[in-house]
Amino acid sequence: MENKLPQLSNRSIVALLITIPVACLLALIVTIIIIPTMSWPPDPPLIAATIVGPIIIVGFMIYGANLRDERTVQVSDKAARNGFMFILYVIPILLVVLSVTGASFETLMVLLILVLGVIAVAGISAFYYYHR
Amino acid sequence: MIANKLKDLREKMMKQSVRSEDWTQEGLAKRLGVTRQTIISMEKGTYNPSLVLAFKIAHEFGMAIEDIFEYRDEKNGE
Repeated sequence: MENKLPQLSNRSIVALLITIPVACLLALIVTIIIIPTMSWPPDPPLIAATIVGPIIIVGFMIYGANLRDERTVQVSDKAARNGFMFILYVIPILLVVLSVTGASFETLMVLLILVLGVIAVAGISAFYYYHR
Repeated sequence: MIANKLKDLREKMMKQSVRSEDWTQEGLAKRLGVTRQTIISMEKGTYNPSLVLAFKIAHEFGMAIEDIFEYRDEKNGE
């Protein structure tokens, strides 16, 4: 696999990590000014999501530009597999625990759809890649 | 398992070459389009490269693949 993307310098990485979250935060403030029904100051989870979300995206950009090669692809495949197995085991356990503790029907349905969706996506993907 | 002489060959090239920086792990990684960590893992024998990467490595060293990589049958100990 060839590195098609240009390598990012350390300066570019620092610039991306600072400017993108700040730009998103400014966009949030502008959105709040434009839409008067939104509360001021914004809720802490919204501020956190506005800052953390772009940082995760920048992280993937750095991975794509500087670290991606055939071995890191293999490593991320294994990491994704472990994450998938975690979801696959934890959600059914959660379903049992929540049904015992008396959680709402909607919560149980959301979790059930999530676990069935995960299995369906894995199955369809496996079928597609096997026959490709 | 697959054994390789990558580390020995690279160090030999580093000593022989006028531009030794071309044969550092970093220099070789850049030319092959992989990360330095991948070179380290291959030299340690913990990662076996794809056929494409093996060909690229052989091309860089000006050798055949079988001069760098060697298949060892674990059952027969060959």
